Amino acid sequence: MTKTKNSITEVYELALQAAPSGILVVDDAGEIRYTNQTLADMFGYRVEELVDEPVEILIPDQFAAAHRRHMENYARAPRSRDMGTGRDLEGITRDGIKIPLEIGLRPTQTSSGPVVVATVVDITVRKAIEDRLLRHEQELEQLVAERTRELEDAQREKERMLDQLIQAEKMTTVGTLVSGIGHEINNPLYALHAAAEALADETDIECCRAYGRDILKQATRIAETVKNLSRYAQPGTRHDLQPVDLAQVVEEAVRLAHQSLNDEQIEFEITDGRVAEISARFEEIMQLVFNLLRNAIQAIPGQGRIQIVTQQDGNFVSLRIQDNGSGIPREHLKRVFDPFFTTKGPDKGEGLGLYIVRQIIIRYGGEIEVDNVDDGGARFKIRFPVANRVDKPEE
Amino acid sequence: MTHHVLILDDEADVRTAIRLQLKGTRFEILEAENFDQAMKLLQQNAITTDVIICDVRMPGVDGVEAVQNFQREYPNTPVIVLTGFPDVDLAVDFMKKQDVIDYLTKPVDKDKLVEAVEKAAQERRMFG
Repeated sequence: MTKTKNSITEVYELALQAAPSGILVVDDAGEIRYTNQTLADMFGYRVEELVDEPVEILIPDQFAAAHRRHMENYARAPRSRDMGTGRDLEGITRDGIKIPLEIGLRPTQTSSGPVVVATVVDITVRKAIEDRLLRHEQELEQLVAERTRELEDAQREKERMLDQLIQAEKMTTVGTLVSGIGHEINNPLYALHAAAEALADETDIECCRAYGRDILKQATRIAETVKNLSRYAQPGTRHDLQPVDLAQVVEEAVRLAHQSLNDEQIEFEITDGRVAEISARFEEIMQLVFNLLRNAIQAIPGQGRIQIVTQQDGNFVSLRIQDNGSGIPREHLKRVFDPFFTTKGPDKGEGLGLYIVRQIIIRYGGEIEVDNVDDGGARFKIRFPVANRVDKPEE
Repeated sequence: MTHHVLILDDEADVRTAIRLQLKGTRFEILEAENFDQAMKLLQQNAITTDVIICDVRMPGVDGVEAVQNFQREYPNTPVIVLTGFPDVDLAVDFMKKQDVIDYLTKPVDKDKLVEAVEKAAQERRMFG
């Protein structure tokens, strides 16, 4: 009989001693009643050195007082739980080395009073892994933050360069305009000049009046031309978005094209339906339309016609510019918006016009496409979202 | 004898201006707004035309060609070339290549115009 009991006891003993976790039994006075071999090994003691000792022997000084308090609290309302959930627990070995621990507690009754059974696991390895993970996470977050900053910087830089490009292209066009318009201004200026010379020497009052009227007529023409050019050639970029009427832009751009590009033989057919305003920078839209008109004019050898239609398409304002020129070769259709793509000769621009046109349109949330018309010529179709009346964008 | 100056320019303003500026001088103006008109007038007034004033840049017309044609048909009639301000380089180039006698930049002062025309007319008398 005793043998059987001993066998069972032996098994219990073995189980406890050899358990992979440290096992500790502490009484209500805070003294160690029992430890298994695993725990003793963990802390570098012999089992008998730990029995009857206060449990604080295993706790680093800085936590000892707090532990006392926790124990007292626990004694009042004991229940099974993990100790210090969410807290980093530490024990201290006989040699003074601190080890990270995971501790589970269970209260129970013995014949000598209430005790707490604790399981203690050395989580040094696990902790090391966790720490490394945490460090990696932090490094990653930092990298992401840096990358994001770099991306934002790059994006800002791109915006800035696009602005510069648009401005530079505009100035190139201004160069073309100036030659053309120089012509436009010089001729009435000459007539005005000659009339003024004649007026200075004239004595007959009626003749004087006639010269005076001539001078006024020419001066007005010149003023008009200058005004049109100034509107287009505003130096620097203005940053404010305004409500822009596309039909109005078309009207002005056509006028500018007429004056500057010597297109005597080209007929402009404008159809403008009433359209809502878009939110944009006026001179950028002018630049855009003027660019397209100029291309259309250059595509037409001699006589021809350019049709311009503005209309409202639900929440979009659409613009169509169609010429009856030579059209765009099919293999080029896909590439016309590429930067530096040009089919004109080496002295006729670097091929940035359409690229810039498209960039401007994209910036405003619009679309552009091009195709060839059946009976010859190219057609550009552009859409802009209507200005949102609720929030007027301010910059 | 009448002394004519032929002005070829597509711009009415320019022709009017030159007409005004030569008023009261010994020269009378013949106005042409395109090359064909100019040739016709020259045919009719070959003897009396002392000077040809020709705009260097006109739509659809090659100024160089026009001057070459004048010089071929009427080698003894000097040509003065008229240019707007951005064309000065072109005009000077022109002059060197085409043996043009003078160039004027619009807008021209009256006395400069008269002086240039007189000088050209003198050349013609000497070598014509």
